[in-house]
Amino acid sequence: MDAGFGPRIIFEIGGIPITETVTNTWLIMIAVIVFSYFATRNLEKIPGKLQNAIEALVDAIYGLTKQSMGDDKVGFAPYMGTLLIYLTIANLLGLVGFRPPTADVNTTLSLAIMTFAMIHGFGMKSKGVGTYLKGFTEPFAALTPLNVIGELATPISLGFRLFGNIVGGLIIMSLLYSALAVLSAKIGLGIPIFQTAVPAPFHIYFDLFAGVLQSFIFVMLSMVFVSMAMD
Amino acid sequence: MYIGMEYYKINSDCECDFMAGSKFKMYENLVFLTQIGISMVVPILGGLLIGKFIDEKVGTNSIFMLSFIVLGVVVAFMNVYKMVMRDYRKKDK
Repeated sequence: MDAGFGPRIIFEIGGIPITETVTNTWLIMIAVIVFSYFATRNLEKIPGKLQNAIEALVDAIYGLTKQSMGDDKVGFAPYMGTLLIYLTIANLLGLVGFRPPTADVNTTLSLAIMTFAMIHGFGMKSKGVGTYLKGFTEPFAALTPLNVIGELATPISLGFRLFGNIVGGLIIMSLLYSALAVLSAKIGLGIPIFQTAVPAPFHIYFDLFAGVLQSFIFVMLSMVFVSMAMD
Repeated sequence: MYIGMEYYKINSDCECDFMAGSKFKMYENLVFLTQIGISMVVPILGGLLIGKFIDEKVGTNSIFMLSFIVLGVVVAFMNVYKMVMRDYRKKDK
């Protein structure tokens, strides 16, 4: 714990620091790309075990999108599914000892800004620019600046809630590990006996429960905000 | 159990019955419930930071900070109001 809880800088490319966040994101990208490649080879009419599982996942994502955005906006399913899969894997990365990329505000805020761009881009596209701009003057024109600030708050609250949840879990887990290390050293067996079982329930809560829940919430809110802007 | 299954079948118009009908609506509302807290805090803190920044630039004591905090409170209220009234407006249309 020499440099706080920020992501470590692994190496630099031309003066640009490459942190753990970036390398772990690359790891997830490689894993997802390789998995997708091998999962979609040899697709058959009568699905095997793997294909069945993948089809169930894709169906679930399409069902979720249909339910919360409506039948006409089911085209958003690929993006929302990608977001859900990426965020779930990213949040669960803490379980295998990597630092979750979502414990960096750059990751979460950039995802939130993508949602923000979608909200306003698709809002303009489906309503027309005039109607879209007129929406800011509701309920009356004097409230326009307040509406604009309120819209700007959306990506910030989206990004920071995910970041806060994950980084909070990360900090608590690393504090717990260092406390347990001290305790084990006090006993003096030479084996890190406390670090073996004690953190498990905390991992289940902070990594598994909070991680999956927060990624679901992020995707759900993105879907609802985009569909709200379009209707 | 039987009634539950019947309901499930009626409400699933697609072959992908991930979550059906009112149960899904409940999840959606729970997600919004978790968002209410932070959407109240963010505009106020944002107002505080922006106001403080302007105060330092202009050299005033704390007039911008206070007015931006008040603005933030109003925006926070409007955000939460919109979020809560979302379903009521849908019913009116």
